[in-house]
Amino acid sequence: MELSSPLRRTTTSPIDIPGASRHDPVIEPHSHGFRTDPYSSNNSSLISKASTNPSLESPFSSKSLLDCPPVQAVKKSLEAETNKQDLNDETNGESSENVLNIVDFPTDELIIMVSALLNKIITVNDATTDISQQVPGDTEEKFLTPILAFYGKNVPEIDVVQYLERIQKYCPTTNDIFLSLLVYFDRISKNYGHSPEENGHSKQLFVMDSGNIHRLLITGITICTKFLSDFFYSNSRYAKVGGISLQELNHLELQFLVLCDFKLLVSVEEMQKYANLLYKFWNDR
Amino acid sequence: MSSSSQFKQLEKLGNGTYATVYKGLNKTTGVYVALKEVKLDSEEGTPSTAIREISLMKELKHENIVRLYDVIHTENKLTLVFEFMDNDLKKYMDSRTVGNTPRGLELNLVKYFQWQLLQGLAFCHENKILHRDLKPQNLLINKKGQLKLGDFGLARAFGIPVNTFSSEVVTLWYRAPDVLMGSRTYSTSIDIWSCGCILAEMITGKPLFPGTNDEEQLKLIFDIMGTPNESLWPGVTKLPKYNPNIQQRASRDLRQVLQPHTKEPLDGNIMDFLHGLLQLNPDMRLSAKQALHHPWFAEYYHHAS
Repeated sequence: MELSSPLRRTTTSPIDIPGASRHDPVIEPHSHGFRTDPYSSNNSSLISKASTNPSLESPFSSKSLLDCPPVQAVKKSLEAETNKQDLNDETNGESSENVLNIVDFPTDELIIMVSALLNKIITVNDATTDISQQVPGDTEEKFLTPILAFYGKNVPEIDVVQYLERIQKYCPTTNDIFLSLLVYFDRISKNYGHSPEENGHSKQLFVMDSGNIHRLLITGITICTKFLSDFFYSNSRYAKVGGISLQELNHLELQFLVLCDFKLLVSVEEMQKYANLLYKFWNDR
Repeated sequence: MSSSSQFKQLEKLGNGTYATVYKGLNKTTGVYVALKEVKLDSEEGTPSTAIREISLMKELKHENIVRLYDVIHTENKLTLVFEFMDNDLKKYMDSRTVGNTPRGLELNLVKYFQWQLLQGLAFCHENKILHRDLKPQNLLINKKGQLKLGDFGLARAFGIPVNTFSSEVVTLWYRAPDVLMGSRTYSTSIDIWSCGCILAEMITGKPLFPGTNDEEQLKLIFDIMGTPNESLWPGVTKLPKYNPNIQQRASRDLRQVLQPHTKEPLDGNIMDFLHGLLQLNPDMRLSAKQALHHPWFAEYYHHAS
């Protein structure tokens, strides 16, 4: 199945990485092997080249000194965004112009659309300053730990679309990965949508904003690619491309799995639904 | 979510490439479990095999698939808590070897195991999951004669036809000819070929195609099943690793290959069934669901839900 993006066709499809075919590992009987990083066994790999490439310097500007915002209460979530779209769908019916072909749609365009949606969400969330910032209680703390892990000291200056384009440039992947991310973010919002408050007041614990979006994206892409695709890179490469340390990525990977309750499987129908909602958001914007 | 203190760790059951498995006792319930400990690598983080196994097995609840009860995580280790099974099919068959002579299983047991294997597999395929590493070692059995699919570390979801399938999957002896020739557009039929290899192995007690490399593996397959051509298998010559210079061979009578290794007569039903699984052309192989409706299983039909 050929991907339709001309860029991918000529160069950087993860399965057609130069040099990868020279290292054909064989899974011997009674052993259990799996090819992971197509670059790792190649000395002249892009990783070593990349280290001298200025564009692979950390994408996070160190200039920004904005402090990490604490997790805030109910904000605009992706869920809310897609629910709104859902309602629109019911009134409009499903028009064919909003059916996105997951296989053939150009990935660079999909990245722009995903970025626009995420930007809309984080812009609203950033603007909603939470006045009721409380110190989390004991019961909340357990739930907050994995969420807070995604905040750094500073808000990275690189915007979402540049960040995703950078990841796609150095760790190319396919449309299903980006669409799965949207599903995962929604699942996390649902899993962490209600804190066990004694007053019965439900509170959104997980909120995507400019403080955590980058770490959520690089971690989500790392995990999702390892889950969905037979071709993926080493965590050290994802960490470098994402601008965080390997140690931090490894830690975030586990936190992300916990936030998702280790449920990463996305049905074809669910993925198509999100693809269409994204397309509709894009066409209606 | 359980904590590790809830389980008493007993003897080691096995070492995998990415995990060590111990027998464990749930101190609260008194139930035995299998504890699969996965080390989190500093270079790779959480192994993809663990990510796949956990995410997929959480969704697959079926009596012929080993149940994943829980996942316990610490900063450097994941422990997967599985249903305990007494043995695996490989060890069970090995234990029946007399001297150096492997012995197959009784055909009624072969049929019962094969039925359960296909029930579990049909459930995976219905849920759009390919196992991609079916072999006797990954089929777990217990004293009740139940058989369950285990080890989903190579499994993956399918459905969206993206170009990210590897042909470096399935242990060599159980790998389908289309995959050996480099196909990356395979689907459920990849698991069906493995089921055919496993069936023949249960009958005779020894692997049907024990190759040592890709080339020899294909040769062993073609020696018995015959060489494929465009009329039997349209598109075969376009596969990446198709060898046009391969010596043409006619297929051999599979019954004559297997019969010397079992005392029980192999009737037309079982041979027709086996041929349905071991079709060179992936499109010609039975689906798991079709296989369960084959006349060989007639006596089980009333059990099917």
